[in-house]
Amino acid sequence: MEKIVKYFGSIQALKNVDFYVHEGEHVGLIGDNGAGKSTLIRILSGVYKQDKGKLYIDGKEQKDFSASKARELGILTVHQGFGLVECMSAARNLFLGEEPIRKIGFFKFLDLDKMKKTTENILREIGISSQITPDSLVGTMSGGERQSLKIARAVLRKARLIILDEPTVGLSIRESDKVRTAVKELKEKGIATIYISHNIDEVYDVSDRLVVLNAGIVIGEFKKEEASVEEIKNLIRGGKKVGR
Amino acid sequence: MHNMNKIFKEAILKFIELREFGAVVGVVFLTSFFSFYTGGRFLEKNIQASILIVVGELGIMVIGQALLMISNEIDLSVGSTFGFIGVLYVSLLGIVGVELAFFLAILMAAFIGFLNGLFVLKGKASSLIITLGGLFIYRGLCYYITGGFVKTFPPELRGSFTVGVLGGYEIMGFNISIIWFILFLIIFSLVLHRTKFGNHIFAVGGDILTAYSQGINPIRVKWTLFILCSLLAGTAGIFTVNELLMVHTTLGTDMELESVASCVVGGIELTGGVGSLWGAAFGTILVSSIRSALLLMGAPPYWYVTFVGIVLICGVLINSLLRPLLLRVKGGV
Repeated sequence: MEKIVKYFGSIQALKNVDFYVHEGEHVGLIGDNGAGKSTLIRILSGVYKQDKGKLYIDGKEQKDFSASKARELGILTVHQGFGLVECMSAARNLFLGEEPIRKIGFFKFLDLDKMKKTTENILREIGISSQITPDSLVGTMSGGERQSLKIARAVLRKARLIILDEPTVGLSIRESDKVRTAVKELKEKGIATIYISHNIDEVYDVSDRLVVLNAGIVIGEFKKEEASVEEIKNLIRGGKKVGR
Repeated sequence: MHNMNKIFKEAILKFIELREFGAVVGVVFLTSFFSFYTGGRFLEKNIQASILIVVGELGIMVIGQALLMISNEIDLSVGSTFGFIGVLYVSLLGIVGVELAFFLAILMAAFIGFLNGLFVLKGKASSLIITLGGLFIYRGLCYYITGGFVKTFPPELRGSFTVGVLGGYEIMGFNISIIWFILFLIIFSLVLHRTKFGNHIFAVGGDILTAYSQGINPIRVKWTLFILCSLLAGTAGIFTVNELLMVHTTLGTDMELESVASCVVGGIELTGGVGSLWGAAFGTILVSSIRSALLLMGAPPYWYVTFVGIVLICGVLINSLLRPLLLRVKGGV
């Protein structure tokens, strides 16, 4: 993303922001309320359109970028508040919108066997297969299990970049750990992430590189080994631009 | 023996877990009660045949209502659509043939559903209010067309094959509409539980924002269901007219409430996202049985609505209180 500018009425939410993510890289995006984090990721996920600036994916400029185009290119978002239908099973949620089909004559039916088997494997991979079956309703799952399921869904859909928007808000420490473990496993799969959270310790733990936003400006950008958690906290408190 | 006990216990637990539990218990209880009270007359073929006529005609309407309610919408105009399409069909019979009259009346039913969808989804209005408006409008049109009088079927068309197939024929003493109902029930149950579209109905009803975020178009899903709901209500109206061979202004009055009651008793929640057509079918049997049973017991007709109200409340309470309680006792939830 190059020199991104976004206005909401007379308010400038993003001011010439440069932001990039390398293949398989884990980037932490931090900043206070109103820093512009959500606006930036909504532009990247095709929900908002920037007023100025350019968006590149694989070096190619994206001119007619949209949410469906972002999905097509493997950019998926895991939201904290929604993303799963509570009254539906884990298997049906996992494939929602991209259900596998089995043809019988002229008729197209859901391939329920494939859905269940794939879900079973995924639940085993994310380590919740002992408590949850493919038929379990999402409403009976804990917050951490739900977040892990959403991440698993993004992997299933061949995501290349997963945007995690406050994935641990409202979760217990143990549940947050489950989510962080699932995020770290994405690294082994070569999937890039953007992790957004108010909890700097948490972002620091899962990220390779950190980007700090303040009032629509990038005020800091560090590799993990270049700054401590305390230094980043001080930066946010001070609001002054440092680093690269 | 121990194994058998375990299997039996698991089967009971699975049954209680079903959302259709309340309706099935209700059907079994009321059938037993009415059979006992009438000295077995309730189970006689002619009584069952008359119940099944109502089940068939109300049931076809209930299928559309159930699908719409699972998607978290409601159609209160189905009773008036049922009557209006019936009246329109008979009126057209004086001008065109049976097939064309059926086609034009069904087209009108689809148009009513299209309008309901348009006002609710594009006008961002409550389906409860919009379809309540429809209830009055289409009932008013019934009065306008009939002038308040009974309209009879043209005598020369009464033996028509098409009229027979679309509600007129009896097979082994049972009206053909029950066969249509079972056919529709199987087809739409398959659509609901075994197709992509069915999955999207549950998703849109359960969490519209999530459905949208996964690339599902909620407006398209709901609009299709509004059209389908009116189509099925209109079809049921035509079947009824072909069976009665006449139509009157009040045809279908209160059926919107019967259809909602059948769905709710059958385990469909007004908040959307859950339920099955089989549950709604059991709810329909329950509601339809009451009418015939009360007549058989010599009760005045006005007791019918009172009884439907009682059954509705009992059905909901069984599902919301008794079912979770039994599951806890059995160690389920």
